[in-house]
Amino acid sequence: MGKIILSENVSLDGVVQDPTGEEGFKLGGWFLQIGDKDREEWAKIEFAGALNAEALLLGRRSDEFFGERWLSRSGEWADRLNSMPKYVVSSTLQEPKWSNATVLTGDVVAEVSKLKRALGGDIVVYGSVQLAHTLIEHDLVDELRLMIYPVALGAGERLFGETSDKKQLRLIDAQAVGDNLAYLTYELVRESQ
Amino acid sequence: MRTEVEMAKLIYSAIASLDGYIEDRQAKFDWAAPDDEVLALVNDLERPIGTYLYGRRMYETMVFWEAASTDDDQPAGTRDFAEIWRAADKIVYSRTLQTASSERTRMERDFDPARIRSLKASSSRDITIGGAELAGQAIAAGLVDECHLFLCPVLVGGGKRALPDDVFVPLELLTERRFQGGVIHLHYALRA
Repeated sequence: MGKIILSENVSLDGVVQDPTGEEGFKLGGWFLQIGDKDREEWAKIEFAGALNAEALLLGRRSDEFFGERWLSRSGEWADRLNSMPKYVVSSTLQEPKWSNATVLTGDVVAEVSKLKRALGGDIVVYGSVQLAHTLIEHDLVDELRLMIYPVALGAGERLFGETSDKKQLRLIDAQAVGDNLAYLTYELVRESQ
Repeated sequence: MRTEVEMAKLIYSAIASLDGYIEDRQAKFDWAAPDDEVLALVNDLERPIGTYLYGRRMYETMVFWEAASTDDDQPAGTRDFAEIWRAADKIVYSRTLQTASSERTRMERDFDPARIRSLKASSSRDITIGGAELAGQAIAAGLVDECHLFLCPVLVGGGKRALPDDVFVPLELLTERRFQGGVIHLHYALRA
């Protein structure tokens, strides 16, 4: 069975909106406000995650956001991301922006469940907040990787939405990344476990 | 020893779900109860504190500790917590609560940032503030120096947030620690 991993950059208060500031959110750009050392350490972890992943799973906006970003880059990390198989969840998208991508148009829960059965390795989700909410609500997420930025924004779209019930987690790992980032890894615990 | 020019620090500590709530939609926080290991750190952090600043609801929750048993049959951690709590001064900010039901406690009607600044300047020991509403006001007023967040391994999906709405707070990570039971402690300095 494939394992769905949400790998997200968040503020301390769980905001994921407009990390680079290009969407015009007044509090946007927080993702960029870390030092070089932190950025280097962050990159090592993200690259390792990409190397270990079998595929990426994305929402439409994230396919566009990351596709635009990475297709023009070169280097090992870019090569890895650009060449990986990708699955984009969207009922409207005709042509994915990013490379080697397949659109999943049907019911999200059914499609992602099918994908988990079809693949054997890590299926990593970047960004894709709406998709992340759906996956969490339907207990389709196996692992959560949170890269916590040294800021509380006080407003904005959050990674964790309202859920119908509590979701129990098991902490797998925690580390400081560089000077100011905190990287937390959790397994989602299912009722049957 | 604190020199005359050094101000006391105002510190906000909270135990929250991973999605940032100190209590859930049912107003419960049983899932946030610290185990012995977390309580030991909580006690170490509270021990040097001279004064607790409380909003009414937080005070009404914490005043339990005034009368809590410290007999030998109680676990060491909770005994310590009760003793530490009782030894500190408390200031309760409330317009409705008239009198305190604990020793070393005084009431104030309004939260006045200028008076908090004087308190920081004149205190030889650090000061903590809670619950979330009062702390949020203090954070917005630029009064809080440090924050300890204990994150529990659970998503509760809604409730009361640990951190205030509409306040932008740049931070500096001071320490990070994981506990056996899966709680994460993040200690931040609030940057000006």
